[in-house]
Amino acid sequence: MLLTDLVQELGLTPLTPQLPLDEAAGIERAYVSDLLSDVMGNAPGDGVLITVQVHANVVAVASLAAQKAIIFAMNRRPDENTCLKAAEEGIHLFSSSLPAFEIAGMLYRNGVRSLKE
Amino acid sequence: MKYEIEAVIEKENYSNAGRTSRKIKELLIQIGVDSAIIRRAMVALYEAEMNVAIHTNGGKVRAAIASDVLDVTIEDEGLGIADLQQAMTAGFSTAPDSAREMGFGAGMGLPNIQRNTDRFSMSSTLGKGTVMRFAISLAPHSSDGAVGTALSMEPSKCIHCLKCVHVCPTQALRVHRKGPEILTHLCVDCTACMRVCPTGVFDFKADHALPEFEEGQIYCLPEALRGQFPLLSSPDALRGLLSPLTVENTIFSHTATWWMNGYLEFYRKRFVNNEFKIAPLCPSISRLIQLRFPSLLPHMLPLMTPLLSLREKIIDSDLVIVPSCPAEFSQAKGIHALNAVHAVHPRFFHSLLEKRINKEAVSQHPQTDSFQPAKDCLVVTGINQVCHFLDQIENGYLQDAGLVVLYACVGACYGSPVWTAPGAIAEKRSRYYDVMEGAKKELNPLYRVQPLMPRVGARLDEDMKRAIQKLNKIDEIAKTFPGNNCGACGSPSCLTHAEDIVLARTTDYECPFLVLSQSNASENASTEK
Repeated sequence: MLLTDLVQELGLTPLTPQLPLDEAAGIERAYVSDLLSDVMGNAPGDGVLITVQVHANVVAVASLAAQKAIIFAMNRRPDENTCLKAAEEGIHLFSSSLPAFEIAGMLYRNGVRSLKE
Repeated sequence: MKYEIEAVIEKENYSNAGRTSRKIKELLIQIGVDSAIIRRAMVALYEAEMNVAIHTNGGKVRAAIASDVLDVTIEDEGLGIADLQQAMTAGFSTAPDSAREMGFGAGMGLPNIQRNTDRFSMSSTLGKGTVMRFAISLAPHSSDGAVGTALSMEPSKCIHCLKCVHVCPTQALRVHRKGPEILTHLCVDCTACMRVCPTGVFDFKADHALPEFEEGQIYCLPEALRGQFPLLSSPDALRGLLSPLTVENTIFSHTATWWMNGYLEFYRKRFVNNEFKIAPLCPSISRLIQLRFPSLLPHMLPLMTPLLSLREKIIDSDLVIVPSCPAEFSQAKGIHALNAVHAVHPRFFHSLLEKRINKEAVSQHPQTDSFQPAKDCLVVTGINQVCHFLDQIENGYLQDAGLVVLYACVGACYGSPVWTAPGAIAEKRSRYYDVMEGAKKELNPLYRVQPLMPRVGARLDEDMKRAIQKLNKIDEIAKTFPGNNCGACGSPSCLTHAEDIVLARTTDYECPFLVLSQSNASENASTEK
């Protein structure tokens, strides 16, 4: 699934507008977790993280776990500094009004998985 | 060449924790480390940093990068960990709510570190703090370095007597027409072949020279070295010949065995009701159990071997280790970047001492307390005895074996084939001196926090279908052999001979026993005519 399609289909609000969206960037993996040790240990690389955690460590963990983007569920938003840091690290941040379950369902329908098949 | 970096971790400063991880990540990218390995390193480092920030009053992280390994030491000031095993259990946590709200403190940190590192140890003092050390191999291929063998061979010395083929407890040796061969995935470095080989084909590749002497270097000498000569059993006499060695820069491997003995005493008093437990003193035995007796793995006490405990505790110093067997040799090398480890061959030390010793001097033994192994501990030595013992245990003698110490060499490490003096004599000689010396400070062995996993022998084929075909083929060929497992073909049994043929390890297809008996039969037939 293309990152641009994802933004459109889910109606995501970009929180890092300074990062240009690569038209060709695809998303194949995603992970849902609010437990950062779990994210570090298990989230597949080059994927999208769906979470409700909004403090600065989420970005640090996502960067260590080589995530392309983070989607914050239920309208949650990190503070300005965290967004700046994410942009520096090249990680796209999005906010969505949907619950994590719905976001994950939408991605799954478009062929995104957390495990390799 | 190594690069070192040191940083402070502040208490409860969650946003700053992770700074060092990021710095190291950049370094690793710059030197071109594989991204999957970088991720393992980052998970371990970040979790370790967060641990210090959450649970302690702050600490220090020190990392060293050498060409093929990242070595990290993290020291903290805090309460210490009362039960390391409990702390390692996934889901166990003592984290405050503030940490849990942020998505940490779910009891996954330590297991995450363990899973992502190639070497990992922790030691903790209650009321003072914890020291955690781990290392990650930066070369993509060598992440599970434990498998394989430290044995080396000189095939040209082989006289095809086949003695080694018969004594190998794991059927790892073949002596086919093209010469001797070690199946490394089966070898446990037990020295059985070294002991029986009449021409010295087997050895290990430790240095045959001393490294240049440097300030701060520590020599780790085997106990048995003191027993090799009648006049040298006093540590001072030994050091006298090896100047500039002093009390400060030598440590005898026995010290670590004493740590282990102390633990065994304590363990026996507190826990054991004759429950079968194996004390991991001999590294070769641990590997034997992983390979041949995996069902007994849960009975291994969760400790590192004495040599590993010792190496971890003095890892900040450059070490000169004299291993007394190939199994100790591979443990001495390990992976680390903080220091230099030289492994010097015991035979080199032996010949060095032989040259320097004054043979005229008079032997004087003082009267001191003799060494006592942990009471009520069952000791079995010699790989054949050990295998027989473990076979019997597996067949239902678990109930009253109690605490057991097993050694691959007859007479424990004194009986290693590298030594010249008979093991019993060497042991008696070295008994006269207490060599605890400066090492009394830390009287505990390190817990083994990495689980011992069963070691799998190589599969017949990557592809399951072909593996089954090969299995049938092996059966078919084995049926044509007499089944007396005489070993004359150079494989240890008829079944392994069939396997060697199918897996193309040999082109000696014929069974020498059959060939001989057939030719006898035809000879008899012709004489009858």
